[in-house]
Amino acid sequence: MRNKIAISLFYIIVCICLTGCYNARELDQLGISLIMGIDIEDGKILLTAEIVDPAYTTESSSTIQGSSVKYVQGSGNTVLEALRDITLKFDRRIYGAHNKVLIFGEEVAKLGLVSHIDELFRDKEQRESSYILIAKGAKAYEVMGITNGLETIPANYILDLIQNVKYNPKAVVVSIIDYLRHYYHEGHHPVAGVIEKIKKMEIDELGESTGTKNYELTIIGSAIFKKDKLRGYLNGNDTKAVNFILGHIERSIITFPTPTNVFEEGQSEIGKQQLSSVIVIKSKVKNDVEMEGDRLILKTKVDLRTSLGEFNGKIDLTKEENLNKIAEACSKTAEINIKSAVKKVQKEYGVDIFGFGIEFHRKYPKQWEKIKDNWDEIFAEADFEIEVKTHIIRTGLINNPPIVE
Amino acid sequence: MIQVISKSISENKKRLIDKFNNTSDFVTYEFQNLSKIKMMICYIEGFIDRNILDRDILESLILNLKNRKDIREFIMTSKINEVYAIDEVVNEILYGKAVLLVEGEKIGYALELNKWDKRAVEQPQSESVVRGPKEGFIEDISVNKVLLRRKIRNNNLVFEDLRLGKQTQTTVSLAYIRGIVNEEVLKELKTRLDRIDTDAILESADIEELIEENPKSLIETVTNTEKPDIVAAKILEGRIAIFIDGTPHVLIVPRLFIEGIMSSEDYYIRSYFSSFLRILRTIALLITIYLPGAFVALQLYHQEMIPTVLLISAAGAREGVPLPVTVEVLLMIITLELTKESGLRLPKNVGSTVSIVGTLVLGQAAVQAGLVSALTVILISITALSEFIIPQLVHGIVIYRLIVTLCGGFFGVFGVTCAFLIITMQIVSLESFGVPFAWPIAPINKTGLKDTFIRVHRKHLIYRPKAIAKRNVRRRIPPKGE
Amino acid sequence: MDNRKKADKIYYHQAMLLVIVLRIILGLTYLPELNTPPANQDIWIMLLLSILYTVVFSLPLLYLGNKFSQYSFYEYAEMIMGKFIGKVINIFYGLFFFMFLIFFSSVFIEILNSSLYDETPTIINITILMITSTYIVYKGIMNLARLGELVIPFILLLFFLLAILGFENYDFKMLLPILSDSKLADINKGALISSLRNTDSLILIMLIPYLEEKKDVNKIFIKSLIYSIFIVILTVIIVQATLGIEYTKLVNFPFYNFSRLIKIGETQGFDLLYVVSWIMGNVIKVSSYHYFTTVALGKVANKRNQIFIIPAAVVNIIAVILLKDRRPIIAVKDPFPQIFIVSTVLGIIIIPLILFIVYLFRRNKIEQSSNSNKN
Repeated sequence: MRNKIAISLFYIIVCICLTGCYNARELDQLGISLIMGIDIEDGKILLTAEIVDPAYTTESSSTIQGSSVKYVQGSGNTVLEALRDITLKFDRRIYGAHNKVLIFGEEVAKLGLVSHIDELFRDKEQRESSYILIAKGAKAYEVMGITNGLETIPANYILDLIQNVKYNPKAVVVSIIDYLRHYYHEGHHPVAGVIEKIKKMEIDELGESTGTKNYELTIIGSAIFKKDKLRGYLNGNDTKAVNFILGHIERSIITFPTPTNVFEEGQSEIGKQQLSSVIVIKSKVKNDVEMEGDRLILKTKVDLRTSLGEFNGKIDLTKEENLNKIAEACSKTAEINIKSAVKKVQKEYGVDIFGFGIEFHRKYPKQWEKIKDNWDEIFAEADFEIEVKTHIIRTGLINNPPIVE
Repeated sequence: MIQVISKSISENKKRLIDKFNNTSDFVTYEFQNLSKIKMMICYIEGFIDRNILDRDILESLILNLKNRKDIREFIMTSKINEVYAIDEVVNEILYGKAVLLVEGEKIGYALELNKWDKRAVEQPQSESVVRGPKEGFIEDISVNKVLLRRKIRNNNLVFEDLRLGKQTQTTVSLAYIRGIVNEEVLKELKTRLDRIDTDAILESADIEELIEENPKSLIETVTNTEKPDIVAAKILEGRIAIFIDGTPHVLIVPRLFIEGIMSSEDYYIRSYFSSFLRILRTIALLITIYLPGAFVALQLYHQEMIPTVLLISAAGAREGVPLPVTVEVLLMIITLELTKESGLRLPKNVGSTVSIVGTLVLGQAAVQAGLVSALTVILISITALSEFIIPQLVHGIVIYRLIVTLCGGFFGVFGVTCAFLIITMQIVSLESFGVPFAWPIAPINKTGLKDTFIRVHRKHLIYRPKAIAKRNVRRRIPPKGE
Repeated sequence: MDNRKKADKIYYHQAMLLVIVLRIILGLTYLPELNTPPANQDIWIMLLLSILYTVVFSLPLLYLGNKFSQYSFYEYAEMIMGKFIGKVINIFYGLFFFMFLIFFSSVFIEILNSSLYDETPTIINITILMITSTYIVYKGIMNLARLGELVIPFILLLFFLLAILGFENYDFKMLLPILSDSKLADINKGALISSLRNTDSLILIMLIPYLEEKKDVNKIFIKSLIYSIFIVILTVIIVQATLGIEYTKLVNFPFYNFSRLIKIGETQGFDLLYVVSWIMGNVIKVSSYHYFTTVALGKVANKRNQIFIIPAAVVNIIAVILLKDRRPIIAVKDPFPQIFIVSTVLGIIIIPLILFIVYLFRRNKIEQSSNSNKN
């Protein structure tokens, strides 16, 4: 009797199992998408996805040009509809778990970023660590498909560009979760990266330049958002200043004019200023707000440990007071640049992207409750003070510059 | 009715030949000595040393014996039994003795003159070590007992003999050290051995299956080994060894799961290196059971958990392969089993060619023909390598691996995890003669942990395993200051 | 040898690990604390306060458990209140455990289906869960505790590993204005609600007759409470520091989102570690509730508990299918939290309080009858 029960139970279980492995997807049913671009065209959402062609990677592929990825587009009233629209045009379903970059067209950003992409949060495949880039002055699909580096897959090209930002913070690296973290707080508005297509000059082997057909991508600059909607763009230098205040400088350089009145007079070349650079090794940034009566003062203290990267001038670097003077020159230049950038943000855009609202909330929680709806106006009228301290702790492999008199 | 030896030799001879069913190797030799006493020697050919028989027994009897009653003074051999019944005579002859019957006396004298062909003591093939003793047991139980006795020269080492098997009447001997052994396990073992009621005991597995606690489990709860130093070390921890005449494999009870990843060589090499080897074996155990299942589950259901670069190359490798992943992996596992089995049974001269052909052809050609993908072949070969590191647990591993692969193929990571829990549950709930099988990991015991996944230096191994040796737990008393 | 005739014995470490994992798995699943008042960056303070409330609420249970450490809970409930009311209490606790069994397995299946397997029908997932749980419960509580001792340290280790690996995503400034946005009344209310979610002190009381050293109950209780609240606080801090305070309130499965963000370079596969440990913890939790349901039913019907294992599993499967195929459980919150709070208040606070008070009155009579029982 027990055997009969066991056998019938076994049959039931086996029948349930064999009716299909419901979620199983073979690898050759996947369309692995690495970049997705979202645009608005003709009043509908246009989705472009870049799908990797896996067969390309197995053979020796140096001779095959441009067949490593394929592009598909789908349109619909919402993002989910656009995704499902692709399934009837392309033989594989889009698999978005390895999406590393999301590119938004300028129009989508102007209409509101987060409100259109609810599907990407609800979907179980999309990860919140993908990077956000706004296509500056263009549509997203015009920017995809260009590769200029050593990588054959354009997605890897863009990803490596993003990873190189730490050497040159004239761009911002923002993932979805960085965007959302402060999104709900009225004191910190998000920024996003930009991506642009520019023509490049190509140097042929024959020595001619054929610059019309080839493009390259650049991610210099940043996009400022007020909550959800795009407000404007910042150029490279201003973005660098923003990164300073946000504390995202890692290996950046600061270029400043060398104080040449120490050693010899009249050494400057005609029409040209002598510039030197330092490379940042370690930085400490402290933001603070202070209320003096009715005025609001925003303070930033930056402490840099740097090493001398390039030096133009004839100063004896083996003396400590000379080194200190150079450090001071660097600090002054940084202060001037950052001040001008903050002023620009305050006056032109009036949006607090630096996070001073959070500092205010932390320091004066009671007042924050009262003024949090007007924070942006208050921010635009506030004073900004910055103090940069530079320490040059290394000079590279040589100490004095090799200029002969 | 017990038949006693009669005074007449011819009657005895008739009865004996009748008892032995007229077998051709039963030799009876009647002779008469110089004093006209008739005697008969019976033995089974091949069991005794004819030289000793002729020289020490017959010569002395024939030349010197004057009176029937003085036989014992003239037999120049050291082990003599007296027997009175025909059945006892038959028994003694079957165990290799020669029986001397005298006309007119009702006593039979059983003389032990054993000499038969035995295998030389050599290194066992299944357990070879680089450092350590290389003796192995052979099929003769008395030689085996001596091999053990030479390791433990202790008067507390006790052998208890019994005969099992209705038709084979095999000698089975229990060995333990009184004072260290676990008395409850000993009592339980004897109870179970008494319950054995079977025809033949030819190999240790016959006893093992009849005394183990969970006949349905895939993991064995009784150790078997061929080396005397392993048996000696385990007896000193409080276990009991079972010797069986006719097989070199000795059983040892009780057994812990952790012994599956131990080898005797661990104690003869440096302690840190042997800890590393044990951790390697544990990782190999996990790999060999779960790697094919995890691979199938990840590829079919959870492609997001594979790094992108690996996923792209795996997808590229799968283009053009006709079979779904589950079937492909199952096919490779079954091919692995086929290769192993055929490798065992090959004759030696064909062996090396076929192994080269097997590995190269099957692997390479299958990939190029597009039958399986290269990634699958690599994974299955890693699985196979890991399986050979742990020879003692192979019985369970193969079947568990199949089950886990099926679970992974049908239910993904959820299925593999549930299979892991069920398998671990089964291991943890086994008990070997009252000792928890997963000791010292499942009921945690800090002193026991010093010798499981790691092997600490000898000076810290102070205690015998506490679950097995209930009394007399200290091996050594460390001097003060250590 | 029949294993079931020997008394099951659970050691100190095994009980502690079991209770710890029962408490933290709910936190690792859907973190209901994020939405209880005050629901901002001070949740960790509220959790610290809830330790106090939990200890206070469990005092009558602990006292009774220490006094009657030789008997199981149902036996001394019967001794104190008399046979009829004792049986009613028995049935109540059987239903209590059964209700939580249904709830926990349906939460588990729902999250499993939303995050990993969205096309698989519920019946397959719940069947696999129940088959595993049936096998584990069939082997008994001693083996369940041994399994826990083997598996739970790995769950905790993986949790800490993930916490360390995700370090670069943390932004601790999110937690900063400490105590300035929340009122004390809110924090108290939240601590009350949070401490009422802990049904696991009841499981510890049920485990007392199997413990090897009965005096250890108080130590186990306090230590497991502190360790598990510590881990839940760590979870809350990590999730809030990574995902931001408001966003986490929308997320159904916060720690899973966190583990998907962990990157080393550009490789992103670490949610596999989390998913495996989470599934193992949930299976252990479901098996524990299954076991105690069968024990309660066994005591009611005066039979061995093994008989009830499969019927309880089958009823659970049917109940989960009926429940889940109609509405989401986590997103739409009514009416479950109210039902649970009412039953928890009854089961952990009111009934033990009644037992305690009656015990104080009838103390002499009970001790006389228990002495005569022993003789």
